[in-house]
Amino acid sequence: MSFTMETDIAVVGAGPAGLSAALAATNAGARVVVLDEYPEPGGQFYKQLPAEFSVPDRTKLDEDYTKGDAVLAAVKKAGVTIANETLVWGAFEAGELSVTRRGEAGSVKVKKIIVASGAYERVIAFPGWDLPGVMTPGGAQTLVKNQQQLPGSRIVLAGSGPFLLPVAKTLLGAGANIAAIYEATRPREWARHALRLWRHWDRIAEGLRYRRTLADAGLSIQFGRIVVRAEGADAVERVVTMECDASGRTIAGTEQAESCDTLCVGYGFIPQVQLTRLLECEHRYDALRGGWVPKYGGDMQTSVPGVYVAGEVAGIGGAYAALAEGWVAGLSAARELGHKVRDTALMSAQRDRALRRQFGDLVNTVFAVKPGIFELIADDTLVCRCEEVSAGEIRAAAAAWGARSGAVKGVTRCGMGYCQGRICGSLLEELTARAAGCTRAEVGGLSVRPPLKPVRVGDLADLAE
Amino acid sequence: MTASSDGDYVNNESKIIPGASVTLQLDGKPLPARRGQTVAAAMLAAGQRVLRHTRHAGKPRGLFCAMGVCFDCVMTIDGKAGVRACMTKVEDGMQVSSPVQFKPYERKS
Amino acid sequence: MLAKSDIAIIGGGVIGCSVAYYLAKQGAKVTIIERAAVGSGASSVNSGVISMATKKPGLSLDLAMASQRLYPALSAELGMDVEYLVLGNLIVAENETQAGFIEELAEEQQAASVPVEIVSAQRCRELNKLLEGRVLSGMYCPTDAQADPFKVTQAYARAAENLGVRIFSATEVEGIELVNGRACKVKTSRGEVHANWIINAAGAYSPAVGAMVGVKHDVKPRRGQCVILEATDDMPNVRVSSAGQLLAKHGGASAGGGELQVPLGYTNRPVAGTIMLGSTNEFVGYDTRTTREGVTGICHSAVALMPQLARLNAVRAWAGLRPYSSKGPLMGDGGVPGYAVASGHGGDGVALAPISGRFMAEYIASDGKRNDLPAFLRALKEQ
Repeated sequence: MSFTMETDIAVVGAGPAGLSAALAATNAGARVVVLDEYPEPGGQFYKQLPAEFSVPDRTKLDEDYTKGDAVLAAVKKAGVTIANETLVWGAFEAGELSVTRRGEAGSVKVKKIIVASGAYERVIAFPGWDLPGVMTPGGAQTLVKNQQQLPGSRIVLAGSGPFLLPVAKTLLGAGANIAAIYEATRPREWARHALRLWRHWDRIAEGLRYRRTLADAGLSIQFGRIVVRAEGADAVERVVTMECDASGRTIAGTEQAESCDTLCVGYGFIPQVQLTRLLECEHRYDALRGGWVPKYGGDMQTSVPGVYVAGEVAGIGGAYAALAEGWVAGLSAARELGHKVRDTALMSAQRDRALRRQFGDLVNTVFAVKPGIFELIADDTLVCRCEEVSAGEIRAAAAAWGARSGAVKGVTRCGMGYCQGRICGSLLEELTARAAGCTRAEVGGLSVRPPLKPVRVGDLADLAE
Repeated sequence: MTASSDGDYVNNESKIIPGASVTLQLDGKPLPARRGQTVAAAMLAAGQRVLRHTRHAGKPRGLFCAMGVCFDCVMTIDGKAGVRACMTKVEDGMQVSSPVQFKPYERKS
Repeated sequence: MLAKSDIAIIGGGVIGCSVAYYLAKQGAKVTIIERAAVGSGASSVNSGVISMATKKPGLSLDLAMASQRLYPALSAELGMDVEYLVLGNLIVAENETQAGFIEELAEEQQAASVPVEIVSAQRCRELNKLLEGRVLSGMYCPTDAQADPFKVTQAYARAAENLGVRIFSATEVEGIELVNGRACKVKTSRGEVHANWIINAAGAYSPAVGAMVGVKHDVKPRRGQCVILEATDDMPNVRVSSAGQLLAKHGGASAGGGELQVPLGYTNRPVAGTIMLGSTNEFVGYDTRTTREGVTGICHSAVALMPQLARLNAVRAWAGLRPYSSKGPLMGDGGVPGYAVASGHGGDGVALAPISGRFMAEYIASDGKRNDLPAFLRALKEQ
């Protein structure tokens, strides 16, 4: 069995950027299909409850759930087709995307593609990070929001970045017991950027609200402190932290242990560029915006004609930048197809986008990954979780075979497992660059090959008929 | 809905109601769940945070990203291996088994 | 000047690294010039099969046999485990034409002392329990083997470096200069390499290098796509391929038209635990992309003969360019003084790397006089 779909614009990803792009393009008159891997649209930011759950009184729902309502309703009203549980696994020729949906393989014929595949969290390896109970902050938030399930009974939040705040709020709202919150930066490091915040009042207000939520719960953030290891027999039982300086190096004599059964640790986000790499778009290494990002023009079109990007995949910038950028991409793609899009509409969207990106870049600057944190990775620390490859093996391979990610991957098998290098890739690149004394750009990104996520042989076989 | 100290169901004002009750088979033992839950959440609700043991070193693994990216939560579900428990909604009668360490390959000579 | 050595080898694949190693072992000063990374071409994208059963008796089989004899001691010699495993090889006949073909081939091979036997359909299933599809018969060779292609290349490269070989990666060759009619200068993107001998081990890219000295080599890129499956426990280790693949290779007529032929090829890699399916054989120039027809076709033919594979996940698909030569490997005299060639190994680069390196070492040591490959193999056999 296989199926075919045909449309003008395929939007890959139903998060803020994708929904926004779909809406803009549909309003301009284009036919749009949104392809999304998850069962319900909304991506991470607008994560919805499962369709099987019921809510007797929606008015009692926290704004965390309802903030996506307006966009989702608009998308529905505009008649946008959203293909849920649909994974894009290949793109073999121009104007075609290979997909699977619930075990059925198919093909989507398109004129334009808008890639809005978002991002996932960056976790920097440390001894014990593979213990059950150690997870990403976003993972904990998803568990609570979407599954109504607390990840554990005594939770520590750690890492760096403003994302820890909404996660804390979600957890507290669900009655979680948060033992401690650790943030790698110190407020004094933010001071010199304070003036640049003046145009972003809504985000500042949001930040202050989060601080209030924490204060009400009797919690305060411990600044300048990072996780150095997680300890436990079959699951995490305690987390050890140390103070760190501005470059992320630990300060001797500051070790502190906190007992917990859940450790949520994350250092920002990594753009999910597998599809843009597969589509052969040009990429560049942008440390500020999360790593490898596709190159694009003012209309959000990449180096490959007909392929656009929007949102976190184009560089980490936050949900509001994603919404704005999606709008630009949607309008641009529709215009390219011959639909009428007024210059003023496009320019206004681009201005909004620029403003939001400005804030996103500011946040990225303040909470930039501190280089010293990588020094916590001991030789016997796991780096590739799927293939169980240690940092020592990667360092040895880089020293022996030179600083090319492909060579290190080939010899160590790091990046060859199920996750296809999503979690370990940036770690491999960073360790390789350090071992060989060269830049991340010189090391290069791991190669991306189809299928973008594992697909059953049987489903692929069916497509051949 | 089974609540335990290790992964309580949230308390919230809006009283979100999970779906109908179903029963899975986890490594041959019944596991109660509610429709709309993912296999991973159902296991967590029942107090089981170890989802599998790795194939080389036999180390325990649990939920990591909970969004289908890391593949740390893979289990064998209804005869198919490599299925992400965090992305799979429960069905009544679902057979779930927890991956274990592989037998190491013995080289002759 | 980037480097000055006795020999400059263009190409850091499995052949180039092997040749460098055996030359360095003789005391020669060697430089490898590699345009990307060691083994990044066809050497890293192949099944690593070391097979006698697939070879037509004659030079092709003699080369394969001689090379395989060098494999058991290779890991110890190079100081790195190349995962050489003797797992056996089964070629199955799906129709009468194929059945007749493998019977003939088996007879020829047995006459050449290759341990092959024709086996029944039932025996095929006993040898590899996944074979539940329709087969008529099979040809089984218990001594066929495999190695990890990436590890073989890296092992040769490391051992060569330990003997003083210098490897320049990310270095493009831009031209070859002759002085007094002898090729002795390689112009690269990072400077000149001066050498008494220049060896073209550039695999699929050999023609471009040959053109630099005005020589036309009978080498064409032949793309092979493969699909790698998730790691599983307890999968049968006997390699299985359809005779359809061999039939096309040995000059039988393949199906007409532009239809892509993707007969079954199953290789289990028990150390990694992954199964490799494939591969295709396509003349598409230098295109290393995978195609939907290739990927889905490989899976389709696999599931037809091994239905249980349907439930496994495909994790990765890739393609490599084999240096196909209609007459088999080109080794030795390159047609210009001071210029030699070691290319055209098709899909057998890994299998033939040891013998190719040994031969080229002798060729160079004899200053180009010992250019007779069959004679070399006979002499080796007598040792």
